[in-house]
Amino acid sequence: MKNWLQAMGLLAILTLSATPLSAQWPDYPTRNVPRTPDGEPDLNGPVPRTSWGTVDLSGIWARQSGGGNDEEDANAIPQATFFDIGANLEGGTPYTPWAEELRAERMANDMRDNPDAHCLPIGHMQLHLHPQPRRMVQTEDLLVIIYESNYGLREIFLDGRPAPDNNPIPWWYGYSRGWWEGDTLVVETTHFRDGGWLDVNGSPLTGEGTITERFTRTEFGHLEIVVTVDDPKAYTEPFTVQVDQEIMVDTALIEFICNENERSTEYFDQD
Amino acid sequence: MTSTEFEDMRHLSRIVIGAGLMLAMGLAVIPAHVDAHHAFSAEFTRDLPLELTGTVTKVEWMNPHARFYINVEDEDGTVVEWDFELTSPNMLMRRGWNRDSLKEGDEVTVTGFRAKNAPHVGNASNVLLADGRRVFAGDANQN
Repeated sequence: MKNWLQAMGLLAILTLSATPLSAQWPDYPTRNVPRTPDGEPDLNGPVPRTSWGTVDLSGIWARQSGGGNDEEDANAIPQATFFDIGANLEGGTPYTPWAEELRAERMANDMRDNPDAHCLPIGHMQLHLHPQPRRMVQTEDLLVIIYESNYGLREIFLDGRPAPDNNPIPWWYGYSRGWWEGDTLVVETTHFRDGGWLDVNGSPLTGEGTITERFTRTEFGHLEIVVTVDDPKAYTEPFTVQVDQEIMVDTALIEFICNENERSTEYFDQD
Repeated sequence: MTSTEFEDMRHLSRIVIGAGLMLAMGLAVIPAHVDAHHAFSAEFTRDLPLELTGTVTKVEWMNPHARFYINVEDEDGTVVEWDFELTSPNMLMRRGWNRDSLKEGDEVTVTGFRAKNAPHVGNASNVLLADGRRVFAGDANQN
């Protein structure tokens, strides 16, 4: 049944990939979009830059259809998937025995404890790969990512501040700090709370974990996010995967208040 | 599943053989579990596909899942209200559907899967109007 579920997930991914860039609701032209002669956004157009000289990551981004590895490029970074972060990792995801057992338990319970199923924050990886879009708003000192899914909100500090060292309460989103290496924004996140899910199948993320993301806007319409997960309690070694996103123009996020009519949990197995 | 639930299944109008029927209909469905609020396999089972025909009594255009209710009359003439779950209104709206795409009083045939722990709750994979139009599947402009 699980393979069927994942096959349906793949079908959904392919289905959702057909969503046009200029979606139907609500249409309103986005400023400063390079266009082709027929008025469509030029995805291969130049990368926009801020007035202070960095690449500008701002925009509404959708999980990109297709993508994946070029089979001819042996050095391509494996693509993460929404259901299984390490689906394309050679040799599989390097789970520790503890993490392997926890993941198996989560799957045996039909993923009913996925924070997403309870309208809670779903974590960086599920947010990166979620079929609902996200808006990045970049200032000189802060990158804010507004996720339509469960109305998530993430702050990435770009002002050079250090990570907190006063034993703070760990957070669902962790504490993110970023800096530029050329035209790539490198973001390091620590101080995660325990109990995180890196994918729908329940790959764990613990309070010992550090996630490093490298955001590179390769053209106007494309964003590559290379993610390294380093969590010694859950994984025997750090591993790296990639997420690709594509710009959405002339549209907006749609309010999604998960708790307004949440009914599913009353039908969950309670054993 | 309890014996009561098994008995309840006999009141269904029709039970479809399998998801292959859905796929054979060539639908670009939006599986309810691949959007926000992932809980499909905790709530529903693909071991119990269903097909029901009834009259829409209510549509809830709310997150995390749009829902609609239909009255189904079985062979005994008993009318039972079924509660169906769709994907989120956000995902439906991006494909051109809206809260008026299905109205109270519409006659529909619904295929999908039953909930594990509720006798008259299902996940709708396909909704077919009496005039043959499909709603909530694929792009509204192509239906």
